[in-house]
Amino acid sequence: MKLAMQTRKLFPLSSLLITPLLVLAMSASALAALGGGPATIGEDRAHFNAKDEVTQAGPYAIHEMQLASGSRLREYVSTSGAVFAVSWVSPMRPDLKQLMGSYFSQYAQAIQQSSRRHGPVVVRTDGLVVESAGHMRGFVGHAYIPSLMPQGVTVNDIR
Amino acid sequence: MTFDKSSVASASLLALATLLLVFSLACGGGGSSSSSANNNNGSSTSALSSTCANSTGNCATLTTNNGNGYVNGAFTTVTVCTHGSTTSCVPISGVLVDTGSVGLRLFKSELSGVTLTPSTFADGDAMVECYPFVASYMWGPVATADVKVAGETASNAPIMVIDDSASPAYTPPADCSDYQGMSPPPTQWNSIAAFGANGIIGIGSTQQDCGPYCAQLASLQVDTSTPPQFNGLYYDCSSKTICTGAAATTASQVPNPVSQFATDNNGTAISLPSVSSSGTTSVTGALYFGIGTETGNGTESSNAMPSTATVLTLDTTEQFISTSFNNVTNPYSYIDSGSNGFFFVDSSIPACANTQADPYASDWFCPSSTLSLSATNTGASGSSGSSTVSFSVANADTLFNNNSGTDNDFSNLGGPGTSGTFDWGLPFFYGRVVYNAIEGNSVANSNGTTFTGPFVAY
Repeated sequence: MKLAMQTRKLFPLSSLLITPLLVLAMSASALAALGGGPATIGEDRAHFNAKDEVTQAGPYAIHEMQLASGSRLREYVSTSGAVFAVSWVSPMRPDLKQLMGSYFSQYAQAIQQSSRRHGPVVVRTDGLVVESAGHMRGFVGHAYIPSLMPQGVTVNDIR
Repeated sequence: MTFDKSSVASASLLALATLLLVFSLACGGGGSSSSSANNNNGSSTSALSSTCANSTGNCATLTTNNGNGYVNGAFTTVTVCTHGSTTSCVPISGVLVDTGSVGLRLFKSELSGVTLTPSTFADGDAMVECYPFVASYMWGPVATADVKVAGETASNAPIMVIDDSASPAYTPPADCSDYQGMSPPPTQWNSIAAFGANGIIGIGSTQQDCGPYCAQLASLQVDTSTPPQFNGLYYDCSSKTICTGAAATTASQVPNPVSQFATDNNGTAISLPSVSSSGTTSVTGALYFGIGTETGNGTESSNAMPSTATVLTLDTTEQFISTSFNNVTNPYSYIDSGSNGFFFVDSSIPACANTQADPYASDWFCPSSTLSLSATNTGASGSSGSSTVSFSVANADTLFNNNSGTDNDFSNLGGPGTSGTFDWGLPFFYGRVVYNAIEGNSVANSNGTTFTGPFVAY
């Protein structure tokens, strides 16, 4: 079992058959911002200057990066090559603009609203769901595109 | 004041017997506690009272009504003094008590009566901070002062001065104002009106607000663009408009104020009374400094952690606990007095419907009748065990309309949360005593069993 399954933070993907794919990629692994495809291969990995570790989980692959800032990022790629979800766990504020790519502006607009609630942020639009929680020293969240989610994959698989 | 073992040892036998008798009475033995009904399970073993017996020691009064309509917030008064002075001081009430963050952050407009010493880097430039929350951020310089809460003093401690002036002294750079990359950014908490309270005192589980991450520049420039994006907190500002991300030593960072007290500095306990199921306007509570450091002599209040308390050690990287709810594990959960509801995922509970009158009603749950639920909390290695918590979620529309809409406190207020996280906000604290121990401290319960911070216990 690879790093992603040994990390105690990983929610057990008990509903899927896990076939670990041990790839320590320094070059051509597929990392891309949310919604991105093969055209953005390698951009994120280069951007974050991080190693990419890949785990295959049924109909998708999880690319995981550990950054020097202590952040752990994951990008979920379907077999068609689309990044349908990203997730982050980090002691520091995450770089959401990079992770969410072209979907970032939707999120930025939605979070303008203020209310009497003080808690995690949930943004739900037709094409995008963003869930952002935690606080300094412990930020956590994920973003996904419902229309790109592979069959049988739920938000509980995105950790 | 703590028992000095050497003086006990040298006392006469009669004095020793007397001391032991007084000690056992003060600690309340098996059920004669003078506290109000704060406990986990129906027993009354040494529960810390929600009323401070004395206001000039290690116990600070909490109130949940800041006069501003803030829902489910606990507030206290923080006094800031010019370092070394006892007369050049300003008391600031209505400061939000937040176990989810670390550091004291007050607005510049509140501090005109005292002299703060601006913090600088070795090059002489101003140290200015960009502090993120999930939904917003604060910006302003770091400065040192004496900080007093109840009878405790943090001497010459760095605090964040949120610049709420019409023309801020320093302009936040793009990677701060462009919050988490947002352009336009969310409403910056750069005024009392925007934040909704007079400041925030973060008393969470770490020693500094950033810690080792901010001490090494290499870990703060996380990408390969030119210049690399900076994701730290501290900026070196050489002028109003030139601020560059920089590394800050842990000693120069904004600390946990509790860790800076001379004594009673290993953590805190928050005791709030129960709140009725229909809600209420305000309750009075108690914030104890130190865990197991005082036995209750003179002005000091006992702050023992009972052996019946469940101790949940926090994950050392991100301080999470794990909460199991509806057979789903949520590994990124937390108990946080700065959150103001139970926030979790349950698609079977309807959210309130947004209306013209309340366009954010869907922030909250609106079940047709009050739900009785439970979840189980587990900590990291070193925890005393796991703990199942029963809680209620009522219809938020009904709650907000009760008592002509004047209530602020709701013990059964919940809302849709995020997958993987169960956020136990202030409703969890009502009717409980919740302990937070700061990292690096060895803390003993009333049986003498020790646990190492960071942990949360209740």
